[in-house]
Amino acid sequence: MGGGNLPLAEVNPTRSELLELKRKIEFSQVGYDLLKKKRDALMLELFAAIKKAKDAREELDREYEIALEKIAVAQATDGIAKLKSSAFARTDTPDIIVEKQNIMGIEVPHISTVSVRKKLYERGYGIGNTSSRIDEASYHYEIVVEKIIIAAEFEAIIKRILTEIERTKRRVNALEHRIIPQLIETQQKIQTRLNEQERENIFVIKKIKKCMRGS
Amino acid sequence: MHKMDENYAYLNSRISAMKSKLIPMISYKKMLLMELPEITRYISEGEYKKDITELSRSFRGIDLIEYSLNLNLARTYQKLIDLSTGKTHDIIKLYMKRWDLENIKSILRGRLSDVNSKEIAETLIPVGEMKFSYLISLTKKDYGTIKKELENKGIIPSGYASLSELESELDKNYYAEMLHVIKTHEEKELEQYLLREVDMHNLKILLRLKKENAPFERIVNEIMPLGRKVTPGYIIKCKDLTFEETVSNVKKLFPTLQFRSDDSIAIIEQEVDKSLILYGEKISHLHMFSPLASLGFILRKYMEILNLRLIIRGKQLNIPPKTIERMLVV
Repeated sequence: MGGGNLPLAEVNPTRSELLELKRKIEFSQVGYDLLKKKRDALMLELFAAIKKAKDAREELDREYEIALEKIAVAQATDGIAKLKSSAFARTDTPDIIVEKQNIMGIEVPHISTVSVRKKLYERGYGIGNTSSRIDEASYHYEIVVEKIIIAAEFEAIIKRILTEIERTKRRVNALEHRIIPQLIETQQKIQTRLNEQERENIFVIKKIKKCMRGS
Repeated sequence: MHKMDENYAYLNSRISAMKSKLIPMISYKKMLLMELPEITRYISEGEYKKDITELSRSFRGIDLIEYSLNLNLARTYQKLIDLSTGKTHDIIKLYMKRWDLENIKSILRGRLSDVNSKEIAETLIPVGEMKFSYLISLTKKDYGTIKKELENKGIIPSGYASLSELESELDKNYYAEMLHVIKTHEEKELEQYLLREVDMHNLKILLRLKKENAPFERIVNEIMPLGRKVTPGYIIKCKDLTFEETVSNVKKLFPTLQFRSDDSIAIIEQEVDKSLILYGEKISHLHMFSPLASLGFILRKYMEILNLRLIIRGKQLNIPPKTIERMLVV
């Protein structure tokens, strides 16, 4: 497709060039149709991902509200010092595994976690000087972390799909409004030039015949 | 141990004076009807004024009030230690050692997670025997050095790789030491109180671990083998019970505890804590010329801090007044 938009001056107005251009136009139109279908399919994928992201966000908001309430109760009853001290005990950071998955040929992340949710006796703090309020706050914040990771995955997918849609749209537009019209224009010009050449040739042949008859 | 004679008459009169400065129970209900700025003004104009002024450069808003409450608690308890003599002095000092242990736990946890010294210092409540400057110096050392230093000084037991196991062992050692000293001094009521405290401690651990479906061995390891009712034998009896069945069983064991079988564990825990404080407060009136009077004041002061914190944080975090009222220790 690359040479399709060349100015006529750079293209030899030959029959073989005309055939090559016809092939390019056909090829571009097939590409154009495929890209349009890809764009439409990506739009459908985008809507599905948006719905999932919206649901994940809503779940995250709900869990966050609960976690805030739980930590408020823990803070009010156990005090900020004990709450902070209990938080210090958590030494490990959650393992986040980022894998790749394929949607319409686009590589999107698949994020999963291990070790976010812990048992009470795995959280690092001694059980004796903490309370069930702190346990509940920790538990709900662990769920919040999990939900954040799920929401992050869907939001990353949306970003990737949007970028791909934008790229596909640019390609479709380029084919529709620039490359195919230019190729057709060049084809027409070559055709006109070839017709002219043919007429010129006929005229020259006629002239030669006339001269030969006169002599 | 101090050889000085007991000064109960002097100590009790000072305790009475300090008790009179405590916020009356009726005021908590009034505070629940006030707006947050009114409550903070009420607190900052009273006994906590000095502490609030002192900390106002480091903290702002509700955090300032909460840290000031902690500072005031530390100062009041220190005053009580200074005023007491003889066995009362020894017992109060030993009772306050629990704050030292809390501070040590905070420092170890913080340094293990590489938390900076300033942030760890904010969690320390300098009530016990350990000087605040020493605790601060510990926050600047690395975890291994602190552990080794405290092991060498005999403050923490050695040979525990896991911090949670070490914390559990610290608690067990503390209560064993406290009970031993109280038995030596033949303080029967105080011993009863402490045994009840161990029971309540064990009870909370049992319920929390049952709720979590923890393995039986884990529950047995966490339980203190000193209680009167919630003993390792009782834990064995509860081995095959579900959480709900355990709650019902506990209700039979402690019929005075005010909770329903379907209450959440947080509510049950609150009732357990409340009942212990109220029991301590009740027995503190039995013998005026004993360390019990001091225990009564210690618990009343602690109760005041708990209630004030509950009200200001509850109001700040929009917890409904009804819920706050239920949580108050009155």
